Amino acid sequence: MSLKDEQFSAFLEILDNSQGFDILKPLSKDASTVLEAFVSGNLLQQPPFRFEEIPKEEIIAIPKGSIELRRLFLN
Amino acid sequence: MGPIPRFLEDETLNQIAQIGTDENRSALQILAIKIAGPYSVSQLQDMVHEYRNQEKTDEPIEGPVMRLRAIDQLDRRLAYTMLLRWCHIHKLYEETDEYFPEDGFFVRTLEMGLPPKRGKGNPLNTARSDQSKAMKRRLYPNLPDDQWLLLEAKFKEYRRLGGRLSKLTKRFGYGVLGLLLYQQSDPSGGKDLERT
Repeated sequence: MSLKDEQFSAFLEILDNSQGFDILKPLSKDASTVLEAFVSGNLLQQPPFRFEEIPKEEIIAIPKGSIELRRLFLN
Repeated sequence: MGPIPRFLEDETLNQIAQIGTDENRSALQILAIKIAGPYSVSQLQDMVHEYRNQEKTDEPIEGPVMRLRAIDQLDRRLAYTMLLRWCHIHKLYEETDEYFPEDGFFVRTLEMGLPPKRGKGNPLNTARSDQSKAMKRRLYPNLPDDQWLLLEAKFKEYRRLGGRLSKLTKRFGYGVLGLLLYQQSDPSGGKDLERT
């Protein structure tokens, strides 16, 4: 798959216009703590995040963009 | 993986189709549908579980059931390894972003003591190359000249991928890196972003 830089930027623009404000930015903010722990190597020293303990079947059943999905990242 | 839930409006999917090619159109549409969705959160859960369990000793693998299980596990390990790799490339790019101004216009060239370029070629590409060289000089100050070429491809990839990841996180936040699609078994594969 190849995508030029301008196509990539156009794709980001579409993502932002269609779901950036309501979905991507809020959930990204919620998930950033997990990512920071992951990349810093501190994850093993931290207690499990809430979303780690929820059965996969339950997670997959949660609608995209719902408040329930965001709650998975609250500890 | 079950059927892909429809989330985006047809108009949005059509817009994506217009920027994509025959080769990547479907992958971009699926990525747009699945990004930050329940499947990507579930995948992040898999990666975190796998990361926490990485010290476990592998059992002997015999028979198709165990082999399938082993393949699934390797997929998860590949996924979190790729996520970590992307995170570090992103950090590297951000830590050296003074060499990669967003507007692509390079005002620091003289400050860095690099001679102004003469001759043909896209000045933007020339300036990018100069920036890349300057970064390598800073990161590897004692590397012999004849080894610079060996680093070219690596730095080209880091700069390109890091730039895209940086655009992604500047727009949506850092956590979005964990909400893409990474697993090998996913046909849409967030990994396609790396090849774009």
